[in-house]
Amino acid sequence: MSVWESILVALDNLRMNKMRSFLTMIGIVFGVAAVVTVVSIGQAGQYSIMSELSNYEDGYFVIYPKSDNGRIEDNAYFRLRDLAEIRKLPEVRYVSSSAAHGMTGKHKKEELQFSITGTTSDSPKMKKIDMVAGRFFNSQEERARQKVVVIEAKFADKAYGSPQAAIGRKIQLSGGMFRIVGVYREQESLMGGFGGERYFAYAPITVMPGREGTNDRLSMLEILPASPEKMDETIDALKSWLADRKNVGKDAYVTESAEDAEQMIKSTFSILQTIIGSIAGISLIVGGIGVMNIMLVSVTERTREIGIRKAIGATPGNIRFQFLIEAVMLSFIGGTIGALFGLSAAWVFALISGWPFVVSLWAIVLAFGFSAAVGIFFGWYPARKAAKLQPIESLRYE
Amino acid sequence: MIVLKGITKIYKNGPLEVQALNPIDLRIEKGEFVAIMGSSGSGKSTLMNIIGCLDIPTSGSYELDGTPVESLGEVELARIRNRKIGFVFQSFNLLPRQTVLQNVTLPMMYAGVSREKRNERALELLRRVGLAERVKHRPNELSGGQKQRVAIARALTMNAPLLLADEPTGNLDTKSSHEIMALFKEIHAEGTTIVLVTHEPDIAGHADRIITFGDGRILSDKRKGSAGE
Repeated sequence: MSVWESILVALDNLRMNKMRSFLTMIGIVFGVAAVVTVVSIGQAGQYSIMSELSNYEDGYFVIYPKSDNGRIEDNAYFRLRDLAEIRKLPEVRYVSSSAAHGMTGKHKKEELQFSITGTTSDSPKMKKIDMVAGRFFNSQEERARQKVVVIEAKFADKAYGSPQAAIGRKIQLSGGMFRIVGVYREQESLMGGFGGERYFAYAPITVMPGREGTNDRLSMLEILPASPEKMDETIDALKSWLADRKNVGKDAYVTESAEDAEQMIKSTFSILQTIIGSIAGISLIVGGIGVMNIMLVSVTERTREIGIRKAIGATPGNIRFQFLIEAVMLSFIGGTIGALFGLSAAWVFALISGWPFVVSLWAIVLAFGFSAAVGIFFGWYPARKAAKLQPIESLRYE
Repeated sequence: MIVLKGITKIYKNGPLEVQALNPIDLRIEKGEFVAIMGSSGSGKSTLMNIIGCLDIPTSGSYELDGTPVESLGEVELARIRNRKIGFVFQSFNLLPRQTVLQNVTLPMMYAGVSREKRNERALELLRRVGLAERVKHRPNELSGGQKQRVAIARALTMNAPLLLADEPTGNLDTKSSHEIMALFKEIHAEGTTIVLVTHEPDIAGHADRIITFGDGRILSDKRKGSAGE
């Protein structure tokens, strides 16, 4: 009896008990669907955050004063004038700072909410800013405190019809009239959907509110080292310079690199996936117990059939294989349906959340491997029981 | 063909021991047609099951077609049941959810015969027992006599040298019984050894040799006329 024939016989048997097979499969379907959904969404999330992180140049890191129970020593803050001096350090290639300010803008009498990031002209050299028209503001404009702005394409399209049409226009913001010099495309962000409708833009850090006069504290700096491999040396040099300059300890500052964030996100996701995956795995085990239960019932019901098969020449191995295949088919079909459900759920989630839809091969392999393993594991005992039945006693069974 | 020496069978039922077979010595030659008679509980079915390798004797030796059987494991026993023995039971013992054709092909499936050869052979045998037009039916759509003919076709598929029939006419009317016995005679005439268990004297009368059982031992062993070679 070939494997293929055994599979056909098993399918035949399952078809003869449609309702029962279906109900038994549901447990496996849910278990596998849960595993596939969790793994797929997890990978999509990871992929989406990682692709955001890849917008930063290699070696990029930020540095900020360490807070002691929420308090930061005033002299530890960075100042605008520090930027120029840090740029002169041999270990540093570019330095910048970014801070977002909520501003109200006016366009054709309509009030619009903006989130304007005050930064330096070095910003586009450290992270990807996807320009679609015009240019980023330059260092002269920054030094001369010119009110120029780089707006996002979504706003350009809405207000002026196209990115090109926006160049050279002026827009009323809470900080005054700003001239549009460039249009960029905002990255689809993980958090993009939250916080209501607002538009993003970049403007020189020197024209942001609170930058005039002496109150020009910056809470963080963005650094790109001269060479990405020498990030640690750069951090060390920078900390020494700051400690010296600001009269604080070397440990008064903390750094965070894109690489650190990547590691952290990876481990966070893997912990999350392990936890949720384990819970999903439990439902798979419960499903497997369902398979075992129904197989035990089936063995008892078919005791006489087993006796007949043995009388005409079935070996214990033939019988064991027959029942094992049946259990595996049960969980395998359940696994297939579950995987389809899981992928559909992940796809729907991707549509709603804006995350990419990642068909995770790993999730599918896991689901099929798991369901087949469940079938073998929970089918083994009933199959063994069937194989061990004595032919003469089985034949007498009514 | 069959050599039994000192075969006993003791059933243990808790502390109780039931001696189903007292030491039995029996020889059945190739090509014989033997009927085993006796009342229920006489031990005739127990002997039949031991000859059919469905049950294992408590002690004694059993040689079937030159093979000492008592030392064999389950896999070898299954192989012997498959190749050397065809079974016909009182209650037919067909698989109810399979078609007539599938039932007849089953022993060949376990022997690893290819699908085409299986179907070809099964059809040939079903034609022989007069059920060629019933191949797609299920057993519950057949009469008792037809079911037993399917079972006989199944018993013949592997060309087994030994046919064991346990009360094959016990559930049949007189007309069907006669048809079945005629079929057995035909099969016997082709050289198959037949051992038949029955409690009906007229059925036993078809055999060449009648062994009567009682209380777990052989009471008499008679050959018909001078055919006792």
